[in-house]
Amino acid sequence: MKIKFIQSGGFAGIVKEANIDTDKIPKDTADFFQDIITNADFFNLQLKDEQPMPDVEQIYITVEQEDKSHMISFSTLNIPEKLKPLVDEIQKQMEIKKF
Amino acid sequence: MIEKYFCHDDFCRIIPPYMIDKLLESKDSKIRKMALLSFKIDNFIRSVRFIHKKERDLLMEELKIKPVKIVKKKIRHIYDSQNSQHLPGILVRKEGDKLSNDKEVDEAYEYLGDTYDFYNTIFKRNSIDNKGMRLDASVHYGDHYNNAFWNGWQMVFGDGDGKIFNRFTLDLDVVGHELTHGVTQHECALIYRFQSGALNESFSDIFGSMIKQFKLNQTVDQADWLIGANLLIGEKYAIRSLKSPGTAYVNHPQLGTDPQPSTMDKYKDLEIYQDNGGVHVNCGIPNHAFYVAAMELGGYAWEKVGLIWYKLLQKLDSNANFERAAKLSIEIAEEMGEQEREAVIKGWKEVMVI
Repeated sequence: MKIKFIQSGGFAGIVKEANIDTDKIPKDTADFFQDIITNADFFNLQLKDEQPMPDVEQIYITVEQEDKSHMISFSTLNIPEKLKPLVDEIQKQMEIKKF
Repeated sequence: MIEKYFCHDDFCRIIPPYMIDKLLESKDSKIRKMALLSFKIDNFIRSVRFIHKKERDLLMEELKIKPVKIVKKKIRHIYDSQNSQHLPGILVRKEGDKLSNDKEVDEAYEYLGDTYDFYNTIFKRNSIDNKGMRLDASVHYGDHYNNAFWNGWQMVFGDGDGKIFNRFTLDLDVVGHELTHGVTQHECALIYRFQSGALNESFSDIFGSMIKQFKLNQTVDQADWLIGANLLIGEKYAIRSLKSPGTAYVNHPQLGTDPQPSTMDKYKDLEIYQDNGGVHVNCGIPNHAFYVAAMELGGYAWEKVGLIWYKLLQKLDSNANFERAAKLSIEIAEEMGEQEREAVIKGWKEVMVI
């Protein structure tokens, strides 16, 4: 499974990214991510289209697994409850993307 | 009930959607009726944040919602989120209260006051909505939170991580920037994506800078034209420069170099997932157009070009682009005089929008 995580915006307009390939990380962490994706029914998750608010950071998560790919987005003020542990974990690994 | 939602003290207190859902299922018809009303108002409140004031007035008429009672004085409420993500938090200083001895609280209080005074003195504007809306701000939001934002109702300030960012209440221009997002929302509600989003950001930077210049009584040639000069840690760093976009920080150890272009040929065509299409990046272009026009006319920025941009904020459409902003600002300047018209044309020409 591949997870692409982008958090962008905020007062300074910074874009932060993390790319995770569960084949290349320790098994317990890979299982942790897989459980969250499964429990959240990620590939069927449809979130309300949110109008971006000034200087509020926006999160974009794309997950690819086998032949499936799905992307969702939400603001840091409205993180879906079931995805919070995943967001918290990946936020620790984000790197600032320089334009 | 409807009035309650729109009185100043209860403006932000909306019944959570999950509660409304439950109430809509109630067997009691009175409760269902009230829940339906709440649902409609809730949807209304959520939508008004992003629509032009003309449409908003029509919607209010349709829903028979009374406008807020106009208050003709400055009212500030500062809340402490106590490093949680709860909003607004605990009320810690309200209008007329003494210093709290919490620097974030007192800076937010003072700078909101300065921002209110600027708009009121220069443009005769009565607060964010021009109807005396109470200025609410929450400080100590989140855990070492590296951001400040406007959520449609109030300003929110994080403490910063102390490594890259200082506290977000430190610079008057940053506080003025956030409050101006509220003013924009109540005027032309510029959509926060791509060029209209960059214009939204630009208005906040321009007015944020002018608010600082006004407090320091600086003419255009005395001003530093920087946004967040103290916010980004390190003497040689700021967040943005209106005078010289792309130079606010250079070779910063974590952030690299300021990516802002100052001309259209360097416009960054970014995807939506990159800062809503580069709203904080491409705002360097209209920011610099304003700077050039202000320098051309000299004196205090708010006297001529500031007034043109304030009128522009009231005339733009919510999906306006740079070209539209240029055209309208030139028309507004023309009504003021030939010198003003030429200065505004020079500004937009220099950034290659026209």
